[in-house]
Amino acid sequence: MADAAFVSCGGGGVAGAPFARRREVVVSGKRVKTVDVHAHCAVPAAMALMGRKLETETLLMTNTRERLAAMDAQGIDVEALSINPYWYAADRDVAQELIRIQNETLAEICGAQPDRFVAFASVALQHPDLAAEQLEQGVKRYGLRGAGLGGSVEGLELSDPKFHPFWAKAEALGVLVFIHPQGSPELERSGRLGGNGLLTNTIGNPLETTIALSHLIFEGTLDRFPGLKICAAHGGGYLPSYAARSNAVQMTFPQRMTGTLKKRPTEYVRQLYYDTIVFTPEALRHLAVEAGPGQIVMGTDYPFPWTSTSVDHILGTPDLSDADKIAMLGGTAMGLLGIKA
Amino acid sequence: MRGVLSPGCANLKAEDIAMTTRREFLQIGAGGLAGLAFVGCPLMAARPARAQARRREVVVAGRRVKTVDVHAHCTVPEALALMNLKLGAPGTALPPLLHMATQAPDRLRAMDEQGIDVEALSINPYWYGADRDLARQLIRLQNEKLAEACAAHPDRFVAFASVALQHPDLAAEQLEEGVKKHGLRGAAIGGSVNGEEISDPKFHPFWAKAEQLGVLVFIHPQGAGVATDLPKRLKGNGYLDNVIANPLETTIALSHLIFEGTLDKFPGLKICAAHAGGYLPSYAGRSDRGCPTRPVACPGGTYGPIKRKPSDYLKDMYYDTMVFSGEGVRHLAAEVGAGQLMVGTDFPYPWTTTAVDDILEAPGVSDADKMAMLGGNAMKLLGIRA
Repeated sequence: MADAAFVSCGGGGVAGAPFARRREVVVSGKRVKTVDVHAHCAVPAAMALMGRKLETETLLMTNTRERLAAMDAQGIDVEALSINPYWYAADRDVAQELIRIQNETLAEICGAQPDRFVAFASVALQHPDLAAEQLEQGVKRYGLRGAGLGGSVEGLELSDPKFHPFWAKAEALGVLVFIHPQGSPELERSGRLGGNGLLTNTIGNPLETTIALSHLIFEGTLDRFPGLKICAAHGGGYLPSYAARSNAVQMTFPQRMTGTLKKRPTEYVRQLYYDTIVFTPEALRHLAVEAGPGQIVMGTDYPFPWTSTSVDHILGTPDLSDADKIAMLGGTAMGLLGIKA
Repeated sequence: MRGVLSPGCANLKAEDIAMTTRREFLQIGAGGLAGLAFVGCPLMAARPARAQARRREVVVAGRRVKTVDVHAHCTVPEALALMNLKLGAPGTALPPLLHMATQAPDRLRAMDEQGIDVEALSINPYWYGADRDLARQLIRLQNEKLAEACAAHPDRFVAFASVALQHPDLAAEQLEEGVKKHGLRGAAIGGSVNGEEISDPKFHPFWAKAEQLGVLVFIHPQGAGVATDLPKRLKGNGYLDNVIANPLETTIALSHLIFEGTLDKFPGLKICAAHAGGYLPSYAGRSDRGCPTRPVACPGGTYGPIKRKPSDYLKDMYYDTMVFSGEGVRHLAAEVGAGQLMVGTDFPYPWTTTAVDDILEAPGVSDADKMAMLGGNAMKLLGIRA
């Protein structure tokens, strides 16, 4: 990996000097390879099969100059790319074709710049057996590093037994499954997230993740597939910071526990992975206490401008050891995603 | 670090129960901080036999601290009856322990054991569907009974007035009467009213009155009352329709109060949100970043752009400490400030019996901050004397 490479400055995100130097992240005198597990992209040829239009050009990987400039400026060495699902309504044939195009393209993108990009396979989870095949093919044939999922599938929870074939495959392959929410349409329809403030996203997204993870815990999915490696976007939504409420319910309303779990809910919280998109040092510090510092991996949400300071966020969080910081910046993700040092 | 601990709850003998008369409790009350009174244990507690439980006195840095629980439920059966609801009815969350007139001894025993000196009682709204006449009758009855319950044990109970928020002008009157005539210390409201957000301008007369009186408004969510399609996603194991829906409703309610400009219009409002404000204080950073990320989704509230950063408003509101751990309390205090936090137990629902300990054990929190959270903040806000 060449260090100190000069790249030209992109049109968006990086202001100021015409040439930005690649930021090299150093912790206690050691260069740290940084990995962003929450980076969006799009493949228009696949979107066309669903009649979908590109939300923003910055999602494109056909010209990565601007993206690399942002990564260099922010100190991101590697992005783990994912595509938010828009194909969960597709029938089997369309889903097969769409995912094939998409995963092939993802593999090409990563092949073109293997030291800067890895990717999660996209899978047609509405057809669980097909999704299992797509994941296996994505990993074995295309060198993809896991799968990117939504927080629910056409109104079904991820814990629905229908999806067990997919979870079984993910567990067998030992790859990371990245869960990214897509708002909470059930709540949006009521208008309760309307008005000022982008609540459809700021509440709707963490809420969907909270619901998805809660079901995976309480419905026993994580007991059934104990080897699953799951990473939840946006710091796991609301769940890790308020996980003790999930424990308390066992004591408070035992009659509402219709199933038996092998562990306390918070113990499952400590086996899942989360990105760092919680914005403040205090929130990250709390997440590290609740989930364990080894469960946290850096995220940026690129190209959506939620944050451009993910590296500094980790570096500036109190009560983390240098080892914790190195793990969050890249070490843990490198292990999970098979990224070489 | 703990204060003086009660020896834990004992199995009750029949004679113990007979001994615990109301008179005794009045004496305990009068004895106040001497606190050496022996009381029996709650009937509901089935634990190994031991002697009677001593009243737990909470001490921080060698000083006895008067503790106040701002999240304590009760109800008035005569008022429930007006809405055809019954205490203890199967399938309802209305356990007999909610009844102050008959169950105060059991409640006081639990308070003594947990180290709670004063409860600020509230009644979760179930009357938002009532018409004006019924609502008037129901609230009058309820607030009178609340006043009686407090008068029976004035050093152990204060109460929030209940108000018929579906009739905002009436609610304003009821709050004023509750405070001025009945000595109640504020109002308790739900997180929404028949599907309407509490930021709706319709409710401004109530907010104006609460601001003018300078009293605390306690917001308690009613997850099941959330008028959405969401409940179907919260079925199954784990009681997610409470575990998630309750903090969610509070998160939505507070978010609208912030983003719709209600807190700008009524900057003097004192609001306390149950369950530590739901999810909002722990995840405030996302509220700050939403509008810069997608400005088009932030056209401004009822009065145009909001005046401050969303998370700044959170530091002006109050919260109970129902986060179940010392780390949770530390985190909450770091997000909103220790001066905004007050003990909450959710009595009689057994979510926690360690609310005091969660504060005492919060890492890195100063003694002064612990004392403020345990009681100092609530005493000021609720007009409770030392």
